[in-house]
Amino acid sequence: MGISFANPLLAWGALAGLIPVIVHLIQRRRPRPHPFAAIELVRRSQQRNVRRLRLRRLLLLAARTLILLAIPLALARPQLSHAGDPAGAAAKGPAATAIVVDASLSMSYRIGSKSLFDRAREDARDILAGLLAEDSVTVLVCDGSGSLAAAPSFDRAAARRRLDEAQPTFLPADLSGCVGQAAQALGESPIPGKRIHVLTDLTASAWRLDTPAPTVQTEAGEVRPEVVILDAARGDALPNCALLGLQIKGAPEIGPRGQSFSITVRNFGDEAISDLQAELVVGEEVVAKSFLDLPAQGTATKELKYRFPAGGSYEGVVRLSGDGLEADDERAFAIQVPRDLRALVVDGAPSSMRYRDEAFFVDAALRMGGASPLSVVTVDAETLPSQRLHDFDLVLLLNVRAPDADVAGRLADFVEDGGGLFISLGDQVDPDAYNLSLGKVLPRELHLLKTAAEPGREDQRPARFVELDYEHPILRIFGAGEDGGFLASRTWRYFLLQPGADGAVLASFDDGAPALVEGSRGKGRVLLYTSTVDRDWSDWPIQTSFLPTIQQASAYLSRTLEERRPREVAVGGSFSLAAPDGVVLAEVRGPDGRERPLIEGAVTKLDRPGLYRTFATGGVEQKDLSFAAHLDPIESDTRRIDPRELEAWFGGDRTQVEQAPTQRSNREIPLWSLLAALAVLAFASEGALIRRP
Amino acid sequence: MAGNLLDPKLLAKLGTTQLRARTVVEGLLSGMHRSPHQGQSVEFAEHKEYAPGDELRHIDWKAFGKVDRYYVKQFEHETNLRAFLLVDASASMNYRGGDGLSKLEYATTLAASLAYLLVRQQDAVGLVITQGKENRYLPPRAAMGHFSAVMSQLEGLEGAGPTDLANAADWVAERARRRAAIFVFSDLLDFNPKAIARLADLRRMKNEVTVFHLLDPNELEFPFEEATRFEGMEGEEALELDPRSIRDSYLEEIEALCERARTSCRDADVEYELVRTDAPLDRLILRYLARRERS
Repeated sequence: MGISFANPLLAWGALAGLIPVIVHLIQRRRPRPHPFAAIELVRRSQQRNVRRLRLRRLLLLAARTLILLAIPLALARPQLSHAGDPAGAAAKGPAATAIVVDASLSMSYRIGSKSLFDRAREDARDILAGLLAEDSVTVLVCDGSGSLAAAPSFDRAAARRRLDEAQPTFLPADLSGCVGQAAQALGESPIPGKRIHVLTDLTASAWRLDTPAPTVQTEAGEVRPEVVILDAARGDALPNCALLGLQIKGAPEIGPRGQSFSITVRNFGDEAISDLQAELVVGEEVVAKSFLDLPAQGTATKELKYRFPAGGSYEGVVRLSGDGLEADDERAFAIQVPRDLRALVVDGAPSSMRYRDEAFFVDAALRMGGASPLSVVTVDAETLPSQRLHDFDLVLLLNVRAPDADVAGRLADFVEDGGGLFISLGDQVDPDAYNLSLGKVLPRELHLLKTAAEPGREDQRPARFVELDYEHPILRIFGAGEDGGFLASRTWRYFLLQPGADGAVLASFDDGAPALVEGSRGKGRVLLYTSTVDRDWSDWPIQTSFLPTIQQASAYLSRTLEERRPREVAVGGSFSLAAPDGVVLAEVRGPDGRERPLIEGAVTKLDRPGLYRTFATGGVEQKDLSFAAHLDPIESDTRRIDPRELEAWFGGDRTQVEQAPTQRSNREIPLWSLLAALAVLAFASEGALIRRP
Repeated sequence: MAGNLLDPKLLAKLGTTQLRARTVVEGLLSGMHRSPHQGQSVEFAEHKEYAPGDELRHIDWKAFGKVDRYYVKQFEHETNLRAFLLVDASASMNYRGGDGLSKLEYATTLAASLAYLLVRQQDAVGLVITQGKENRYLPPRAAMGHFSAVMSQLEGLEGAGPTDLANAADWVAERARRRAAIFVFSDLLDFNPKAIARLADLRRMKNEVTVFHLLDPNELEFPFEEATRFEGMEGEEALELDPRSIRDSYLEEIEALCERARTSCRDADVEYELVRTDAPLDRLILRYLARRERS
């Protein structure tokens, strides 16, 4: 047990307690002499009161001494601390001390009513209070922000303030780096002793043991600091389930505007978990629930599906039932559910036999719906001029003869204004006429018709798709290994295109001739397929890849494919926002309602997970620009490091990993209030003693 | 104006006790006092050996011729009153609390004033000054010349030694053979029941006994505030203390002393007058004389 002072210099004021004694002694020597006749009466009076007077005098002296003693001592803010290890600390001598507090996301883990960070902060305060008066100290909150450690000082109040203001963040922390910074800061103190206290949950992900252990640079050379690591988890395991991934994609199988939310959940605990609840919340309503079984240290995925009632912007969250670390148990999302599209299919070669009709396969693919509900209108080429193109999102010209200049001009305007145009070729197409009338919208001009093989001739080899661009949004759904439906298709006849740099080739035939070429004009997109979409020149329409490709292409051309991808970013990063035409973005507000900096369209300080909302000037929310920030999964990994690894890294002889604070019983009892109360009491007593002799 | 002039603080500035006494007495209206005894007698009674202060005209020259010693002739009822002024001149009577009169100065002034009053109306005044075991004595005489002798004893009197009123009372008892008025001036600080017993004896001898109990205001009120070293005036050991701490007890003690003196005097049929030495002398005398007239 010992007493420490927050303001030790003021404690010297306690010497004022000698003043009453000195005054008393001085007064004793200098009473006024006075010859008095009735001295016998005085003597008798004194004898009658001698005991009371002596007691009163002692009480008066004690009260005055207490006043002058208690006031400076109270100002010095003494604290009574129960033993701990003061002798040990004193034996170690004064040291420049750094207190490193882990403020990473995993420190938000709650055990009971307190988080690990709360524990660590209390431990840090205990350590701070237990320092010798000669110890200088610096506090470094390791919160992943890369803040630097200040040089150690004797300003305990500043250190306490730093601890009081510290908060756990949603970012991962590099404790190895923070300890290195602390060691660097200790080098600025002339005190020879160097000590680092690290308060952490000992999660392995926070340490990078492949780097050199920190040393302190002093005038005498490099020295290894004494390192004391205090486990905020007190040696307990930290089981945690985390929602590591969320993929949102269309789920046409449940109907138009159906969406599938595929979650990936990881169990970082050593025990299997069954029936872990996951729920999908759209707006404020729970719209789907599911349950997962997770093996120990294992991963599981689950799909939650929901059919949205209408197209538009939606916000929501996927949530797991809570555990100790709640922050990684949910993911917010903001998605655009595709609106209903209208497609005009122009059949250039209609047939009374449906399966021979040019538009049969395309029409079937579009009417299947897909993720974007489509309203399909099919007309023949002769009817095209009478159609109002701007009533549609998408126009598909299937083996249509070259339109006249009027229709061609309207098509060009349609694309210019953002419409999508799909062109497939065939025997009705005259390349020169096409180049003449539709040259403005074609990705490339047509050149010649090539026949790779005659249908039915086994000795001839038809062309096959190669060099598919799987990065393109249309073909992304296939990916490597899933392109069998493409590679198996055979094409006997197709148009060659004029060479040129215009247009992006999404797929080619095996002779290098482009098969799918994308172009753009104004706001619109154009996709050119150089063969037929019926079975006249190719069997691709009957391959499994045809239908999804047509559906993806129609969504892409009508600019609804990108909208299906949820906008999301990692916490700590930045996010670029593209304002629609005529809209000036004013501010972005985070999940906590606070504004975030918006500089040249980029939002920064995305410091917490959740939904960020974008507002235009005038306070109008731009729902289609909302986006979600999610956590770095590394902090969800609460598996703990073996303390021996840390001791080995730091150097075992000067490193100590404690599961519980050795000075945990070192509770400090502030004495200043008691002293102040005593001073007041003594003051009142002194007054009463004076007034009542 | 007379009241102001007779304030003890002003009287203290007057040079001599005689002057003070005359100032006091002259301030009183003549005729206010009349002797309680009517008529005079010049019938010879006996001889008495001459002592300083005796009227020379009463020396019996015939007797001188016969025995070669001076005798004076004494006459029955040659005066209205024989008064003894018994002044306590112990050291404690020297106490002076402020800038007024000390108790002894007050006592001598009071005694002188009474003597002057008495002599002026042909009463005989004797004086006993007691200082411990020693007593100085002037036998009662009524002549104005005797007043000078009284004043010569009182003038410049300094207190010394302890108080022994009992001894002095004994001493007076031996000499007050006839009915006499005995005035005692003392602070009674060594209050001795024997002294009161002696005074009671005097009273039983048909004497009128009046005790003027003189106390300084400081002794009655104990107004001291600061730490004080109280030094005894009759050789007592000094005391250092905070006066405030014992004030209540002291006031109880002094009150008890006064009450004891008052009670004892009342029991002994002795007239008792507590006198503060800051009280105007003329008022005191007037009050006393008025009381005597009523009795």
